[in-house]
Amino acid sequence: MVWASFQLKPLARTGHKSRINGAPSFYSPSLDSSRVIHTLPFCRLLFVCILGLGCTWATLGYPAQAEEFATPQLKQSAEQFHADVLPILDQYCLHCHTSDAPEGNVALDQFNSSQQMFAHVRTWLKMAETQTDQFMPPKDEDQPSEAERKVLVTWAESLGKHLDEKPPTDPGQVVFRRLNRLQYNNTMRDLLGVEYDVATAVGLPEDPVAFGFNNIGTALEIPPLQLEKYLAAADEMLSRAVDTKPKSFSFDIAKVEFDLEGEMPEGKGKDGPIPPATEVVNGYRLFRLNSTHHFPLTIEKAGTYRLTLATWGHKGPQWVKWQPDLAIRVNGQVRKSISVLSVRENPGQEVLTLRLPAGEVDLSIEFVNSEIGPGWAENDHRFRHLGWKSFEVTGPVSPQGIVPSKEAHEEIFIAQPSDKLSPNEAARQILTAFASKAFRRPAQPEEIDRLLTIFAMAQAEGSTFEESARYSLKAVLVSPQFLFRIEQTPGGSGPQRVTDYELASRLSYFLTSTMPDEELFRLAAENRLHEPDVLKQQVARLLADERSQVFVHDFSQQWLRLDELDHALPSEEFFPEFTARTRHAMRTEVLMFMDHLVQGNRSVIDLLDSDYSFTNRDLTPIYRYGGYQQEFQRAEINKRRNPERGGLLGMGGILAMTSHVSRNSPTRRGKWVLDVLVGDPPAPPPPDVEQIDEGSDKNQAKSFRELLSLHADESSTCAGCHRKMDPLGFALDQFNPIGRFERERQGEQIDATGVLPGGRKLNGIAELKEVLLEQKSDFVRNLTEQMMTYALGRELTYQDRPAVAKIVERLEKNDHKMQELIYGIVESYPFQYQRGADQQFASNP
Amino acid sequence: MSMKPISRRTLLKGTGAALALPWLESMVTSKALAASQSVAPMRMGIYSTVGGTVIESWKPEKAGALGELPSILRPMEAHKDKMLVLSGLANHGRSKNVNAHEHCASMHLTAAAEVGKENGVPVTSISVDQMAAKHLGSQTYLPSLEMTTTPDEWKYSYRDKGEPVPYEMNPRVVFDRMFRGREPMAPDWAARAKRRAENQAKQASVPAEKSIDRHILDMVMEDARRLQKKVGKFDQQKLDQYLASVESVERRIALVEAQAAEMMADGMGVPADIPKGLPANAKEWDPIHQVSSQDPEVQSQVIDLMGDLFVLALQTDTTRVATMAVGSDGSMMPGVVTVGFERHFHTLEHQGGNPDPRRSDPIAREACRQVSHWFVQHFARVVDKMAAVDEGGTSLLDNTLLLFTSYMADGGHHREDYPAMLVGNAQGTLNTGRHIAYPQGTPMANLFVEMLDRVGVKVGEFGDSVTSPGAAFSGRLPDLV
Repeated sequence: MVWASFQLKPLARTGHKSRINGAPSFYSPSLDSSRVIHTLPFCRLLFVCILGLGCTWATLGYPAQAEEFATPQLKQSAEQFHADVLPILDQYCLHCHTSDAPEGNVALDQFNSSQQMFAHVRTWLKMAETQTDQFMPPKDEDQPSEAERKVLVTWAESLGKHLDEKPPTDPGQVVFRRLNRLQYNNTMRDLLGVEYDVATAVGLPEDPVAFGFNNIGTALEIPPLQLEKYLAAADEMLSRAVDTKPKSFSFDIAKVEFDLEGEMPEGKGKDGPIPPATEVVNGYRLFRLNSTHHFPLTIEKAGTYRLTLATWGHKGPQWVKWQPDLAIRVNGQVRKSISVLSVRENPGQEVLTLRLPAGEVDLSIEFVNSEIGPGWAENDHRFRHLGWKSFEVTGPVSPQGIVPSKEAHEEIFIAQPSDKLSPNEAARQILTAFASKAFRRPAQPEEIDRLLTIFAMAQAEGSTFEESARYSLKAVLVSPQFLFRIEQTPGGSGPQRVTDYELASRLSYFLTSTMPDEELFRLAAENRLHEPDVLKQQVARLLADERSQVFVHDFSQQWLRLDELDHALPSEEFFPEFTARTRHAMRTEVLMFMDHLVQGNRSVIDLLDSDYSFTNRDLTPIYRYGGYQQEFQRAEINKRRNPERGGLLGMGGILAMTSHVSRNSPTRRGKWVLDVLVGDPPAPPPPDVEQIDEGSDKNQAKSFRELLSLHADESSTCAGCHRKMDPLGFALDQFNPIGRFERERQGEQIDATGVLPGGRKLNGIAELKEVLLEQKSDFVRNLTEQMMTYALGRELTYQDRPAVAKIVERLEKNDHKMQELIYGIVESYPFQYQRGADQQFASNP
Repeated sequence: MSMKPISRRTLLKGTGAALALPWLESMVTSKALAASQSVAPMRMGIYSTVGGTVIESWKPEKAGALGELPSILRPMEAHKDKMLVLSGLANHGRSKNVNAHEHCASMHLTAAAEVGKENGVPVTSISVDQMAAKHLGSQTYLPSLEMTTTPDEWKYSYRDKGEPVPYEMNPRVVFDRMFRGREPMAPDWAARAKRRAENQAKQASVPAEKSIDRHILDMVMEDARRLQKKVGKFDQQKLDQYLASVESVERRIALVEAQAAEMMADGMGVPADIPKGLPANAKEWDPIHQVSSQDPEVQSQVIDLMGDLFVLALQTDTTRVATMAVGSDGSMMPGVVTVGFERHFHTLEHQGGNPDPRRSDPIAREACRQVSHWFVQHFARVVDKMAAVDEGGTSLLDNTLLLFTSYMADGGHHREDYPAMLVGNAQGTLNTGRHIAYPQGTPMANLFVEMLDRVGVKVGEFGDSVTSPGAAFSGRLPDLV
């Protein structure tokens, strides 16, 4: 109810000069907008009341003069809003664009405070665009005059500019960020030194996507399932990294007692003696009859044990099952049965795992299928032969019977108990080193003390040193300090630099999706990482490292939505050349292009148009340029011959994933351009929208293009967005659904014309590229915002505008070089700072 | 020294590979038995397909006793007297910031009055399976199990605050998850009931001492609590969630230990079949999903394998609440669809999926009918399996409240007249063998209230059962018994 009373404050206090800055609720639009919903009735109420009173907005909105502003320009913007802008909005816009049922998902009634109004700067700029284009209000509504439109446009653009220019004051809300699937997998790999895709092995769920990316702190939940998987993953990885030095029992079969059983088969030798198993060949004892072998064991610890048998069978003709079968019993009960697969000529080992109880255990192994049965010929094989040399029981081991990596083990176990070092001290050294890496900062002695209690417990149970330490390592791997990226909030009321350790993590997860490496840790320990030269050098080092490919690919796939290419609709039925292989090649092209931009420090404008790309023999026939080799190679594009190619929009992958099964989808292509390149996503279609009825008879005569324009005209609800999306898609219509360029379709010239909202005519890909290049600043800004969202793991707010503006400017001054973008982000204020614990945000918009 | 060779058959029996014989004789009278004599607990299962249905080939012409089944339902012929077809049910929730598929999906099992997305995070309310799991979940190793046959369509289950529950899509992972450190054994319900009756007071002894794994979890919870004192509001919430998750996992580890003891007391239990076609490791499964959306033959195997795991989970009492999402709107259906030229299911849904058959393309509509029929075929196989699992005089089917439905009413994302069918008589709490035609628009939420009621969760209202514009029957469904 804090909200409710706050909402009403302006009304109640119009007469006083009271400050309303104290209200704490406004500071974070990204996290608080869920609450905005609850306030809607109040907004409406406020609105209605005021209109009812017949007052003007200028005096009644809220006491702008009582607020503090970062710059005088912003104050001016706020005052102008109430004096000039609001009356126009009120007259032409607000009866549709209210937050309770916003038309086209645009709500213009969000101005309960300056912060809220500033926070919606994107909406205001979008509004300005519709005024320039005279796109809104819809034609059947009252239209504002030229002068009125101009007021809106000038005001919105100046607000954007003022926000861009304000000094940065808020580095944004950083929440605990759970490692996402990719980060977790890579971090586990690097922390334990084991190459193993543990996320797939335990089925770690895909992460939720918010704001286009799957590394957004607020969206990364940790439900029970997630934790269950982390526990399983810790076990899986530790079994591969820690040799618990289990106990081993070995038996020489020549010296083990056995019972023979069985009957001599009918026929020759029926009444003869049972052949005794006395023959020993190369250390292998030979058995021809069923026999049981007993291996008495004293097991200290119940658990999984690994059984290793050096055995062979005598290979017979292929139509006979010649493999000897063994039944393995524990205290008389059969627990497993195996077939011996290795052959006499090439003896091997059978390895299996078995759970054994603690105490005296009678483990017995029985050869059960010695008799093959009467053969067709008199001298046919009648017996299976089992050769058996040794038997070993080792454990407890991991249930899956995994053999740990020696290197990984040595990397973790940096100390061993000895005369001079107690087991406890050795464990302390091991855990301190491990936890400091896992927590990405020096582990505190009291944290190690607590981990050692687990170690002591296991020691008391009689576990080996390694096994006991392993339990503590497991505790590290499910600790919140490991699973979340936790940054200590500094005290004080102002934003402060993050610590060097935190900076190391931010940098490392941004550019390599994994924990900091040794060098970053070292620089953090020396407290030098934040020094501009050092930092720059580290970025250069990481970009040069092949691990940065993870960043390029992960970012590109999410930004460009490349995952959709796997599910791209064009079917092989209509496009036989669009095979899984082609899809893969198309994806490779995009990723190689992105790699090239980063590694070669090329201009990001190449993404809009370029005179080169990467092809191989799968793509060349579709593109009609490039070579026929299997490996991907950079191919130059002759722009006179192939003016349609170059840039993302000349790539089959982008065109295919935005197409339909058998035809182009101008809407999807146009939407992709708006969403991904321009950064102006249209609202999702209303839920009850009528689908275009392609199949029905009445429409049979029309082309899809005509159907679509019908759809866009039928109601203004659809038109609002379709009039923006469709013309962009029409311009791409000469590409078929898999990106082949054609001028004719079904014997008719393809019409690639469209009219943009502002009235500008567009014909074909070349002219579309012209438009995009003219507006390249929109593209550059959008790419900056996208990569910044990825790097920060949070939604950008209006408080980030100065940082974004600075990077965009830097790019413009430096030929739009890709690495400038990356350096710009790393050097930016939100990347290097965080909020202080006592910082007040309501007071400094 | 015995001279008799050991037969392989005896051996197999010992290894637990012997097949449980189909249990036939008591099936005839199971309906009568179920109400009074079931010794096994009630389970809840939801089998939900994509693409809705083709209503004129799904809905029996008349209400009342089931006569000749409409074509889509025909694979269920053998279970006709055990099923209850419910028509007229609808969802009424509004949506915000999501497309039509997401709208339908996030409302499907929640019957929420409003669904959507805020800050990229879904907004909806708790789903019926999670509500059931909240109450029944504490009694089994997994509170609930959610599975999907494709990575594309599954966002049906939500915890309290609209927090989505991930669905498992890799059968190996599902199997390992269920039987990590346990054997796939079904409890011997009859023996357990007998033992309990004989000695009401004597419960299975729970190992009093905590395992080290549980100590580890205690320790990290303590870490989180310490941390919590130092951080801001949002991070406290994150840690709350972390704590709740660790607690739930620890409880389950304790439960496994206790259950193992109880199993032992019952006499080891009944070995369950390990599904055929289970991949040796999780990685091997990766390429299958790619293929399965292109090839219905592969998809069919996937659906069957997941169906087997669905049955196995309920049979072994690994969970009492299982949900399975079947099929993908984005898949190609050559061979299943044999009419026309189009094979892409989503396209067919759009062309053929209007509530009014006259407004649909007839060929596409027939194609949709073929796909719906194909899904019911797979479902019938699951029902067969469940009916064949003996639980001490009644079948697993008798002890399960099993719902077949779809997340959309039809291919055109409509939300009126969903396909809905309850199978099994839920321990005698349903009067089956009928079609009940509710007035069009009766909230789906009412069905969820009835379902929860039958598994012992008395909610009173659920989703929009009371607030819906279509509210009817005081939020209940009459005439089910």
